[in-house]
Amino acid sequence: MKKVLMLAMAGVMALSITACGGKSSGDGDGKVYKIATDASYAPMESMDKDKIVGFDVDFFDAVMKQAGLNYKLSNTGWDPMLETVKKGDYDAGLSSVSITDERKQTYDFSIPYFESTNMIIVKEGSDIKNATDLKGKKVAVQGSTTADTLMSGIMGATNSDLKKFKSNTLAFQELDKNGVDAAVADIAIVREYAKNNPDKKFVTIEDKQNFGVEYYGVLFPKGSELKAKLDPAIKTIIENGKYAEIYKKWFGEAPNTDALLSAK
Amino acid sequence: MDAIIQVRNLSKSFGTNAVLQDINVDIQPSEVVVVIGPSGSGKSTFLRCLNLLEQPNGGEIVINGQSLMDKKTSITEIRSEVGMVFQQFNLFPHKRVIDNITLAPILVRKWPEEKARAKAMELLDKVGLAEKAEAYPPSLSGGQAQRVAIARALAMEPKIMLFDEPTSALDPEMVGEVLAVMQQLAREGMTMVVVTHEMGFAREVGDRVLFMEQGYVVEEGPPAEVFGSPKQERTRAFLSKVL
Amino acid sequence: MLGGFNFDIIGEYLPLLLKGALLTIGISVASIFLGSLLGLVVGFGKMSRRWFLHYPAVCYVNFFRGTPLYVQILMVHFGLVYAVLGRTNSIVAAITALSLNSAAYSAEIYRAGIQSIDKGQTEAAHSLGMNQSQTMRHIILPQAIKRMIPAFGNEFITLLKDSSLIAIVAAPEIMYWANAMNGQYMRIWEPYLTAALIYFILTYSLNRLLVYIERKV
Repeated sequence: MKKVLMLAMAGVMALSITACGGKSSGDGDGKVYKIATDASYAPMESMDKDKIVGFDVDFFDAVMKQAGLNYKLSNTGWDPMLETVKKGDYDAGLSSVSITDERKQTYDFSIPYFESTNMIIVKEGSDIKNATDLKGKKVAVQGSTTADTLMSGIMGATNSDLKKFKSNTLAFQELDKNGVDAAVADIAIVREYAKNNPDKKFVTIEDKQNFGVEYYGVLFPKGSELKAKLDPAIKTIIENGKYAEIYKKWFGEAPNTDALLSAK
Repeated sequence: MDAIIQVRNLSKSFGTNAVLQDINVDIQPSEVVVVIGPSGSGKSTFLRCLNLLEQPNGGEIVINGQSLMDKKTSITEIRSEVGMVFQQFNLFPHKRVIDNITLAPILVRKWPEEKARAKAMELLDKVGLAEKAEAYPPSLSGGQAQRVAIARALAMEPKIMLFDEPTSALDPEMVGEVLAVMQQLAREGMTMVVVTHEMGFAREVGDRVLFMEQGYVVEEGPPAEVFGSPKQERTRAFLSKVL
Repeated sequence: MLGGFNFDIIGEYLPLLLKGALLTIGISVASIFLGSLLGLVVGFGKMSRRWFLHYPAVCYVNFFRGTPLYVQILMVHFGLVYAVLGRTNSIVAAITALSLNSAAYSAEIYRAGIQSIDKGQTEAAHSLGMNQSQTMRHIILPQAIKRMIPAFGNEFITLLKDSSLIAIVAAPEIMYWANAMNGQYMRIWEPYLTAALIYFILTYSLNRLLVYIERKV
């Protein structure tokens, strides 16, 4: 009798061990993290046919490899990303999200991983020299970005001369077709657009006074445990040169990693 | 006196279906010609060719000296002289009875409104419906509607009146009032071509009967002859079925 | 706050949403009017037997009914309006795109309405000597229009809701300000439920107006 029981127990234990197995790497944690993005923001994240590509994509891949975690990146769009990450339906948002105090009230952020600022773009021959010149003019931005927030501060959030578009592409189109006098967007985006349209004779203007430095962070739901896992991985990537490698690939120059590491 | 309607070798097909084969008819002024025959014989099509509601494929029609085949002939002119009364009345439901009657004289003959109104009331009186002038067609009985339709056609002062089975859609008790109006018209000397199944009318009022079958005029002659002693076997066969 | 529903931000944006509603109404009315007129022309073109009137009308209807209004708005705003005015104008673009689109649907409503009138009506008119345009004007159209009212009612209500798409080119109408509210405060339900309510009030009013008109005609 005892022998049968022992055999049965052994059998049950063997079964339960095999049931536990699954695709894993590093931690043995089989979980696949769901990451949301708005892939309409070249060169940070955009669609290349049916794949999501960009600086953020390569950067995040390196981070997750460093942390030994599995993930799946989905192009959900900006608003859905904000909503699903807030609720925790998605584990993180990776979408050139600038770290702001307002957003910190609703979300957690990783340590800063990218330095950015906003930039003005106008047509050749424009008399606009800085952001304050934009008062009284027509300006296009992508809605819900820091460019939107900054220009709302300067021009008034309810000013219908500040035209908020669903994407930067539409905002730039509006500038191209003389619907506005200027557009304001992330420096990386503006540079990419100007690079791709050399014949259109655009002029880019930096305004360090009005447009402060911003840092991108990975977006987490409040109280996320993923943050603790990724922050050290991000730090490592930046320190060991992998970050610089990716940065050079996408932007053709070396990043300012000191500023990044000492940023708050 | 020249025939007011002259038809020579009239033919008409709908697609591959030859509905009129070779029609030759002369109709004299003030003559009342009744056209009878089985359905599908082409009687209605023949009638509708006379005011160009159907476009003939071949042959010749001359009305009042004008050729309908001649491109220079004004269709409006022809239709002003040839009135038509339909089986389904076709009154304009959104206009009052009086306006149904005055519309064409005002638009086509360019009459002033008072003249048209006076004529309309005169005609309504004639068909016995003066009190219905302000009514709308949907409120009329079938017999009343058809009498209004006759008045409407007469308002254009046509020389010829065509009737396409005018009583076929009426309840039996109303057939008489319409036939009475048609009989009066005939007495007044109107040239009439009537497609009908009302053999009594044909016999009493018709000057000539045309029997049509499969696109041909099989037999024609005065009613007494065609009904009494038909020459063709086919005429006999048809009559035995309907009389 | 009621279960997390933030009425304050609704209050802040309400004046803009109402201004947006006025713009929506204005754009919709203009587009309905222009679209109905253009639709009559296209409708008659489609009914015509002359090939040079018929085929362009067929292509027009197929194109504007067969492609997304979203795309049409972008093409009109960045293409047509720019080509004509030298710069974009979201309100001109909105009215143009909505009118062109509505005309295609209106053309079909006219065609169906006119062709639903019994042939006997035309035959009676012709037999009395009336020509095509007299017949159309006095006999066919008055009867047909009455039948077309429910279908046009549908079309107008659809157009009013479709006008929300012009937010894509930053026309400051209802949906645009709802998006702005969403962007500024990162809330979904407050802006979009409010917008939906405003649209509902507008379409409901339009519906009652159409019921009144249908009874009067």
